[in-house]
Amino acid sequence: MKGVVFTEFLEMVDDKFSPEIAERIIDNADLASNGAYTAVGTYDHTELVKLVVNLAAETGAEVPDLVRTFGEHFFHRLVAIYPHFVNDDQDVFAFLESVENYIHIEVRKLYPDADLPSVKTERPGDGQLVVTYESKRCLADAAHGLILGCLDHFKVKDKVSIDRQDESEGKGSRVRFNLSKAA
Amino acid sequence: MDIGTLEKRLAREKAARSEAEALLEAKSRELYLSNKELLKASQTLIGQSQQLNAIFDQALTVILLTDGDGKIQRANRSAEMTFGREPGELKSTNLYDLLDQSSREAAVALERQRDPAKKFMTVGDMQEMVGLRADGTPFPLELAVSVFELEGKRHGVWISRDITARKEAQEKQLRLEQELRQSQKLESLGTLASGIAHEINTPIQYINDNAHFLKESFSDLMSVLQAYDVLLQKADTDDQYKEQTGAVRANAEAADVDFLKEEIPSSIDQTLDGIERISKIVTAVKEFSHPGTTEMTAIDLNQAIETTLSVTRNEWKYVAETTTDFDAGLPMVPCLPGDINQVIMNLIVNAAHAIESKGGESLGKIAIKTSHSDSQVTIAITDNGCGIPEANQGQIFDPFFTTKGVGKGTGQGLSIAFNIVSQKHDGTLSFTTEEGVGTTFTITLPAVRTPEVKEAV
Repeated sequence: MKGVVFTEFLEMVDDKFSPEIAERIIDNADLASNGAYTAVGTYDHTELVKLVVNLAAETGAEVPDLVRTFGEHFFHRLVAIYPHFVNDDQDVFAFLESVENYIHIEVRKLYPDADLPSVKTERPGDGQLVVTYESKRCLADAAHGLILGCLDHFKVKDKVSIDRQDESEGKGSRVRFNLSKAA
Repeated sequence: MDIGTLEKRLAREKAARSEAEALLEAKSRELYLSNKELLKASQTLIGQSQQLNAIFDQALTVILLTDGDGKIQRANRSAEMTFGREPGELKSTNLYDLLDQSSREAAVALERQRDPAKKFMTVGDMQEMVGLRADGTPFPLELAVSVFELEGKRHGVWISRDITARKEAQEKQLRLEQELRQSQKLESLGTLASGIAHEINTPIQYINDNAHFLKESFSDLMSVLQAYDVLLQKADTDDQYKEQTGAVRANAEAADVDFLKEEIPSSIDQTLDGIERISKIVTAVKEFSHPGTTEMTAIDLNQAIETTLSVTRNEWKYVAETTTDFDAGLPMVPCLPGDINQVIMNLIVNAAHAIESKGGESLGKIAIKTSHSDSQVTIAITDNGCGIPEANQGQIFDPFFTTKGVGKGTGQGLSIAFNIVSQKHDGTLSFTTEEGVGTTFTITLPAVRTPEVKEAV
């Protein structure tokens, strides 16, 4: 997993909780990297899982909620870091369709070894978009948070509803998000 | 943030920085190597591009790259030269505009029918079409196309060749073959005529001998008949022979002996005259069709003209009378006798046809005059026929050009004559003409030729 995910996660912990909590969850995680992340490095994704679990223990929050919160925060950070991928005049559904068809293609050009999740989309009807997340890392909550961040960025969070269906027996490795625009 | 936390964070940041620097160095090295590879690949590509450009522009074949609508995206130098365009002028021109109307449709069909899966063109794919130069002049060309897809769009690679020279060579070869066939036919006819003339000579000889014998014998017989007449007149005075003399007179009257005495000598003379004419014609045919002379031979042109006039008599005798004005001092002229005979014959026959075309009550005139200077001899054949219209004067020596009706001419006579005089004899064949007044064809031949030629035997 790219280091930017870790650095942004720790930034979020600093901001939303405290630097001390950030240090504690690193200390308690027994990480191979010792928590010394650089945005352009690549690290084992299980380190993120350990950090999230430790954060849940520190704060008493649920892991899925923390991951989803991080996803939403991470989307805004990604827009700030890579603004050229986002056209604010674009329709939110069109942007979500471009994740798989454009953004991931560009990411692979820069990082050929990147192990990206599959984010398939389809439009079953007017005002409807189905986003199907699939990854062995089982980070559907992060995907959910990213979608929420996306809706927030395009200022349609209160106009688009999300119906989430886990198609991997609750493992979060394949989840279908049914997005519907309010009539 | 307490000091402990800051210290931990500093240590972690230092480690992250080291890692980042190591990553940066590794990426820098990768970038350097990639750049090096890229530079090498780029140089290779530039080299290959230069090679391809050189091949593209040096190719004698027209090469055009078009989009799916036929708009030219790239054209080589040969294409520009073939279609008579300035460098760069063909770009954005439509290929189909470089073809005439019928070829345009054929080329569109060719492109549409071409299967993109069939990558390579073969000679069999070439189709003959008509191209247009910049000034609209049409010219024959061969055209083939191969189509391919680039970034989802159909493109065509057109290969073409200007086949003007090839067509001309084919036409020339065809013409030469026809001339050769005609020449072989004439040679066969000449050989046949020569053989027939030879076979006719023998019976003519004994017919002539017998006619002379009859003439002399009849002369002797006339003396006897005159003696018989004297005897008959004396017998008339004696009655005892009355019956016999009566019978003799009756038989003489029945046989119309007086008429026979008068007509038989002139009949024999006419026969001898006819035989002499046959003999002359046969001799002329033999001389005219003298076979096997393919080397330059010095001949008497006056004699050759006389002979040709005899041979062609049937062609002109009903429409013209001929006169000759021969230069008595004409030297023996080195030439190919059979060919020169053919030239003179063609010109005499043409003169007769021109007189016939003009029509008229009285006979026309064909006058043949020979003359010479130190270096050349001249034969002028003048007729007072219809003349040559100005519009046709530039074409009369072209192969197959004729204004004669079907069966009268193949349009090869003057072409062959011109070829014989100019190509085979280094001479000239020219004409002056006035429509409705007549034409003079003038042949000049070198009087002296090196290497030496043998005299005709």
